Amino acid sequence: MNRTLILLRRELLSTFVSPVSWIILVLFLLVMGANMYISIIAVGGDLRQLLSSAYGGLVFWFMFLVIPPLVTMRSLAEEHRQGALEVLMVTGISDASVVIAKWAASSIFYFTLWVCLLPLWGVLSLVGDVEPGLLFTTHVGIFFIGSAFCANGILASALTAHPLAAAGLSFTFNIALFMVHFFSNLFRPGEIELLWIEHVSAIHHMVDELTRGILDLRVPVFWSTLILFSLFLATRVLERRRWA
Amino acid sequence: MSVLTERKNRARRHVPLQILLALWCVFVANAWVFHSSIRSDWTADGLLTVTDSDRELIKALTGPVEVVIPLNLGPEIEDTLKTRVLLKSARWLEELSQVAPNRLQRPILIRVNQEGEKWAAERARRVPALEETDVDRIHFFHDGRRVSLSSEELADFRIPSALEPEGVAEILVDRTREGIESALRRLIREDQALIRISQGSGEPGLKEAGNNSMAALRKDLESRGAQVEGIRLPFVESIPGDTDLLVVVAGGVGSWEPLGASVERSIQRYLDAGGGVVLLLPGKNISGLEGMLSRSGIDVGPGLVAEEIALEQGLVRPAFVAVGRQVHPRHPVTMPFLKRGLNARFSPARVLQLSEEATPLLTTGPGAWVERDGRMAQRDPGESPSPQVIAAASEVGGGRLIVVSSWTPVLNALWQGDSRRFLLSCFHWAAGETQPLGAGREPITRRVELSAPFRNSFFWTALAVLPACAFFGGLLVSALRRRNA
Repeated sequence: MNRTLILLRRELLSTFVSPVSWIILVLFLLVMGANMYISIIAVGGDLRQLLSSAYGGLVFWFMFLVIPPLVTMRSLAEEHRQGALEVLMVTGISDASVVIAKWAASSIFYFTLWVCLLPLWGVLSLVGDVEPGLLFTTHVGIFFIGSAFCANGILASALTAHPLAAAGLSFTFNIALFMVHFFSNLFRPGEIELLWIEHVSAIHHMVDELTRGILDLRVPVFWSTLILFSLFLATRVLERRRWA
Repeated sequence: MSVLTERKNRARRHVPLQILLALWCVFVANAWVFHSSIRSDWTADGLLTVTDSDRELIKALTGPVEVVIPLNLGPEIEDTLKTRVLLKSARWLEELSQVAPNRLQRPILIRVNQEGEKWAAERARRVPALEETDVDRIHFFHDGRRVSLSSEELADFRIPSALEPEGVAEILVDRTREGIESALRRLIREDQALIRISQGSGEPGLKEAGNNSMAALRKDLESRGAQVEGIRLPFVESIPGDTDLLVVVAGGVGSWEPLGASVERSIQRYLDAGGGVVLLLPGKNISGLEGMLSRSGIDVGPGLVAEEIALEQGLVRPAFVAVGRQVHPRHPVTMPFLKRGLNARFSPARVLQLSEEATPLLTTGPGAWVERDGRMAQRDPGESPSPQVIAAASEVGGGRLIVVSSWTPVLNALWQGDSRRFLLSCFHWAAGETQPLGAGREPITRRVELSAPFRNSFFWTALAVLPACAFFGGLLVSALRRRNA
């Protein structure tokens, strides 16, 4: 545990001093800031609708799906290519510790990006009645779903030694999860298949529930199990390399 | 075979099993939460909170209720507001369907102008059939029956006319939850509550447009599933036995005649037989029912309630207004208001004096006093301020009687806010319902005014200040890193 924390600290330090991270943050704030500005004009200043619009629209999903692969693509693939991973392994740190530390660091950085948008809500709260409950549920969703996308990124990064291939693979995993929602058009309301699709649908969780202030236990349970499963697979992949 | 090779082979055999086990664990956890999930509502006004009464209603549905919402509204502001109400209703129905998806199915939303084929198929499938014009409504289907709701039944709108370009289109009263509740009740119950409202002594009419009528009250009650009729009290020998609630409006915009002794006797007989009566008192005259009220433990005091009303810039002005703030903590009428408080305005309002048989429902704050001359609201040294009772309830024989100190809140122009909510709760209890009725709510505005200065400052904060802060943060970190290196 202690080793995992030390590794996490090292990962966080290297993430937050890296110029690439700050460039990602600046670009993220520019795009999402513009998105918030356009959204507030489009919804006529209605703050409840603004939340659904800014955290459920096309720009949001683009950023939500694209950034995790960019954040995680180098984490294991690059180290494997440079041979740094093998050096890490011989120090006695377990595979699981490496995977968990890499995933936690990328998830914390990813969540920090979204937290950096909160000052805009602070500005809005000066002139309107911002609901903290809705902001909380929305960020709970961002945390769980974003962490799951990061876990997929870590798995993809473990599967290949090339960062770009890892990013592509991770993006494919995430987009596949995202597209599941559209299978719902095949079923009628009330059918059990539709309920299962909604159970795993990131769009349903964010747009229909979390941005409207509904927190369902299914959201943390589903995405947590997905995180654990992806990290478990990533650990197995690393272990296989050790034996190869 | 070396130890290493043996370990490798063992690991190869174990890994697929471990992955299968992990998949099984993921499935079990999700299957458990799929069937026994917990949902919580984090909206400030409990917009999507499913109450115990909602759960009971859904569980009382005998079979699957299917809901179809065909939308074909145009781009006008009026259409936008109506679409918003219908979509909000769909959202609420989705939330309700979570309680028992096999009894209340999730709504089928069809955008008619985009999904023509789907709409045609839906129309062909439904019994009773849906017509092509049945759009922009919510249709509930259950056991060969259909109940439909329009957006006007779910909310009151204010649409500015062409003559008031500065006017803002808005939803005045949002009744989506109550309207849906009423529609579901109508689906499972054939009989409607019959509410009779006094007419014929100078009371405002029930159907006329304009401010001096009770049309908004009638519409509100009908949207909750009640049948509303007028009753000319001076001309009937007795109150019809099928009446669930009698509302006596003892006042009118013009002259109003106090009720006679025969009316008082017939109301007393109706109450003794288990009926429910809500009496709204006149501002000046006697109502003619004082004897009956006195026997029920309620006396109407002389004078009018006055209070100091806050004006802009911190000024106050005494006025003939009673603001009901304190509610009875255990009475079914007032229990729904305990948590969120009440600010129900009545003007002009009489003061009620109660004996033990009656229960005070609504009382003003401590700053109110009784202005005995009734001409000018100006507190004299002898008129000491204290909480004044402005609504009371009494159980007479088998019946229920509520007396409210003012009749004016039933007028179209004043049928809003907390006084409306309070009166609806009174009607519900007096009609014999034990579950307090939700009384609709004025939507809480969570809108910021998009003035030019606000737009400018938000634009620069979003697109310049925040990214610039991140940029300079990055430069600072980079500089520190170089110095340390």
